[in-house]
Amino acid sequence: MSRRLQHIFRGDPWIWAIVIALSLIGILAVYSATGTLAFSKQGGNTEFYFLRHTGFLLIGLFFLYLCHLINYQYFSRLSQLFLWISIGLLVVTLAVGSEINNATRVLPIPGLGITFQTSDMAKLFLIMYIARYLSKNQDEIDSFKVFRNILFVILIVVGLIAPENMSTALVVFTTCCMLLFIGRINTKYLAMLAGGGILMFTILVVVLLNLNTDNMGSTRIPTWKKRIEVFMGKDGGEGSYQQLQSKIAVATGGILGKGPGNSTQRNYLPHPYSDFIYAIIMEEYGWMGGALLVGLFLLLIYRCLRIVIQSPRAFGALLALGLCFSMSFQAFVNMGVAVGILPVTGLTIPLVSMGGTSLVFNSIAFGVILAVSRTIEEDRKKEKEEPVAAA
Amino acid sequence: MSTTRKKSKAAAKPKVNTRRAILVRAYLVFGLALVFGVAVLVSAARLQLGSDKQFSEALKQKNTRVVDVRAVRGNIYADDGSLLATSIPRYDLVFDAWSDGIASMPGNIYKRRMDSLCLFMAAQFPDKTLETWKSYFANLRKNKVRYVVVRKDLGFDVVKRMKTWPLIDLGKFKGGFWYEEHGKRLYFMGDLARRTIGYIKDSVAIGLEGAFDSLLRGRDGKRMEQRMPGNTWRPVQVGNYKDPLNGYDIVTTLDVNLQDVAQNALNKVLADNEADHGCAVVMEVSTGAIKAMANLKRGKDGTYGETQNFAVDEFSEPGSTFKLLATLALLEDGLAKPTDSVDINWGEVKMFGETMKDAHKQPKRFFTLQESFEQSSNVGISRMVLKHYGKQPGKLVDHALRLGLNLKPEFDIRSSGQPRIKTPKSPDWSNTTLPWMSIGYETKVSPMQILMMYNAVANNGRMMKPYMVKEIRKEGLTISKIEPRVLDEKIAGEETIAALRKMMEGVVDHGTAKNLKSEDFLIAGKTGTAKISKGKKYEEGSYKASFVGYFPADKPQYTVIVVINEPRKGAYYGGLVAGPVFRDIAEKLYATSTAILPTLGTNPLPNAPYVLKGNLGMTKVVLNSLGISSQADSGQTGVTGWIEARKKEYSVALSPLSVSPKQVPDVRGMGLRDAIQLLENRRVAVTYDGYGRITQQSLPPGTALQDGLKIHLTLEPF
Repeated sequence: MSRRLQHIFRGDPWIWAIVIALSLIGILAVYSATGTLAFSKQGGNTEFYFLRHTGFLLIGLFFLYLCHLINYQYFSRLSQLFLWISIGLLVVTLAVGSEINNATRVLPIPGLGITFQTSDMAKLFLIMYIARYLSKNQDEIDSFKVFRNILFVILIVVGLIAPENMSTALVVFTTCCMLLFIGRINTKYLAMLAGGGILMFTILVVVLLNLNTDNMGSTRIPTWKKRIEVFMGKDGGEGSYQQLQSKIAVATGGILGKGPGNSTQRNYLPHPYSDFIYAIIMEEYGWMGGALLVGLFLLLIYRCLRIVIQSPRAFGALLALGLCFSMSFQAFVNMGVAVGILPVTGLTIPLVSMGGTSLVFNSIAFGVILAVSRTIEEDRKKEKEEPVAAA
Repeated sequence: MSTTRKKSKAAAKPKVNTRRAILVRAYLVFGLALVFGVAVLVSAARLQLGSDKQFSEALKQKNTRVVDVRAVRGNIYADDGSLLATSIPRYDLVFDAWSDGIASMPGNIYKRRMDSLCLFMAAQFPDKTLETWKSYFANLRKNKVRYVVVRKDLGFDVVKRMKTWPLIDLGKFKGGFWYEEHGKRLYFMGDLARRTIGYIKDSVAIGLEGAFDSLLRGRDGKRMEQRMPGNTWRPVQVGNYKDPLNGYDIVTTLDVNLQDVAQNALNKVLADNEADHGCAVVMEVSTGAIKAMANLKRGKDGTYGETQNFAVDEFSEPGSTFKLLATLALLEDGLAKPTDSVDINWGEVKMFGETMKDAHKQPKRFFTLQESFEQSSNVGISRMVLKHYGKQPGKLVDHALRLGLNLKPEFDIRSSGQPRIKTPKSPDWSNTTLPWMSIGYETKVSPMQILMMYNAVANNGRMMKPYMVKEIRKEGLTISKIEPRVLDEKIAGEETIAALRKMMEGVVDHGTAKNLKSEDFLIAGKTGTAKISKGKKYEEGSYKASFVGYFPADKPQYTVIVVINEPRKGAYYGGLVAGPVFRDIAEKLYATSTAILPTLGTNPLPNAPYVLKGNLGMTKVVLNSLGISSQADSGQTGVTGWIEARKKEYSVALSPLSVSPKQVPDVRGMGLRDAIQLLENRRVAVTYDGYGRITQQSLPPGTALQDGLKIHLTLEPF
């Protein structure tokens, strides 16, 4: 039985298990958390968001399955083309994207009535591209030229995301830096970059806090300022309200939680189904539920490390690690916000938070990781068989 | 082969190093993730277990609350659709001086918008000057006040106008201004039918408002609010809870005009007689619909007001109006005929040691049953009853039970009391019970019950359920229509009903209510004069006067009951005291009811109205459409086209009016429109005050015309 399953679901079974577990947790949490949204937007049709989420998830899992059957080395080439498409779409999004919460983050897909967050796509292909670039240039990885060239690409993408979605941009940038680090870019340069980044960020924060934002209504600048102020405890506005309600959710959940569907804080939290999904999980499934989720993402990273150990090629290792860090990092930021150790951002937990196209892109990311894992496994089997055949 | 191997080894060697380097660094990052994951879980544990009591439920309750959003209460309408009670929405203008939109609005744009908004505010609400408004809003902005009620209780018209004002037009999130709606209950009839329409106050539910509260109330919604600095509360938009569901409207059968007449007539009679309290109820014969219901009680200052619904609530000894039951029983059981004679001994006999006597000495020793009823002879009725039911009292009681007199009638307005009909099995039944019960004592019923019984007789024996709500509506659409309901298809045989009706006609024609006789239409009814018992004793000089009847007697349309309690100025007979109220109501109904007019067999010509001076053509159009003939005095009318009208009995005479094109005309007696036309054609500027017809003009008629003339007209109503 397990063999037959292994034949259909190839690659690391642990990662498959993680995908299934995250999906199930997500469906449960989203169904519970969308109750009030369903009442205000869908006339009390509580199944609407549940079905929509599940639908996107199934589409995503379909793509995941397809991706994991592809030899991962094809992604190396694909990444070049798709990165430039993504950059083009990011530009279009900035120009015409529809407004959500004063942020033009999404691009409507004509005819389908759905929108997609172009940053999700860009993130995926940027990581692929970096993995390709680093593996191709392992021989002169220490040179400043390699560092400069890849940093240039990263900054283009991050720069296009940043104006409308600073938190995603920061997460993408940090993930990329980690990837550069793992990819053996000279630590000296990275340290300089980190130092510079921290300096820039500090300056930005200081400037923001002292800036009169009265004349910047149409940009996101006042919102950034507000959020930083909130995190620093300066403003008693909406943000501190959100954080307070989130902390209440975590605190009242206790060790074992209130049970599925019993969240009360979902009525007080904005976007309980995405930005504050971890708070809802903590409330309904308690500390244990929250720990399970943390454990799943740590396990994901660990399994990807196993891939690195086995991977004969740098590309596969970097690709799997990059994607898994990107998703885990995002998840940890979401969790950090929920428990109050990070300021309020609009980041989601991959596969768990309600989403449309982001579910599909995250599934594809998992599919790519599994593709790497599958290819390596099968190559190793062949290697083992070869000597037998030779003898 | 070996060379290739070496090559591959050489190529693989750096790869192995690379892999190791990558792995080491990856483990480092994994370590970071592990630390962060642990940090998340530790923080969560601290929130759950730590001393951070601030995140308990109690804190949440302190900082947020869920409040009811009141649903708009439904309206109550009269039968013609006019409003009796309504909840009008009132709006409070609310401002969030630091909403996202305002906080991020460029300063110069904000200032420009706010300045022009203040101009509008100062014009609309002059209690604050432009400068005060400006500094008011500047202060709110400076202090970042998140929730403040700028203006309370605004009407819809004002709100509609304000929606185009700067900032307000941007809506709640961008402009910071929004409205909060609440309902205010308005009663349009003042004291009229106040008790009948009722009210809800501190869980006391009265009248229709109380009876139909569940429908009128609707369902309140809920929303969440967050505590703001300064103990104010601001609604939070987090997936709203439940929208309120507005209440249903109810359409009553009440006739506003009739209610007015009934109440005024009742008030006058009560005041004239210095009576304690009274009620008057009008019921439509064929349906049982209540067209008017007035209840008045004397206050400490001698004025009357609606404080209690006596018509449905006061269960007491009805007196002579109850004789209808005994008479009905005697006839229906075939025990007596209207012509049967009874010894009344001039109106006073002894019965079981008690004195039974009529209101005054009778002129004869013997009365027929018909005469006993018409003259309201206590002795006549009670002796007749004693003779036929003395050995079988239960049989008479059965008639009362069959009519449901022992049960509280089902009605839209609840009553708190209970009727009481004694039966031979009752512990307090005695020898005297039967005769006294037959004349309306030792029994407790409400005026409404008496009214239902008489209405059944007027309706050829069919007893109708009284009702006051005929339709339930929701936003103008009919949800349900309440149809008249028959309680008893035939309370007695046709002969019995015919005989009873004849007796009741006799009461008005030559009996105790002959003062009510009208030349216009026939009335039938019964008077009642009961001594009022206070506890067990009947107090001397304490009476209840009543009259219940229907009209027109030959084709009954309405049944009316009038009860006057404790008149204190001499007269206390039902016919004399309660009768006038009945007559006022009947006359009003007679004058307005199309159902009654044709029965009179006449089709009176409309009386000629008063006609203003004015344009010939227009006057003719109006008169013709009213079917009033008019005669123009001579062909001269056509010369000027203006006429003066003179009223004849059934027609109007129109005579020409001379208006010179060179002089100020005489516009006195004209309507404003005609006068302005005439004067402005002569280049005279017109100002005016008042309304109605013109009674004064500042320039005398005949003044020569010249440029720049001004005239002031004074108008007065007719």
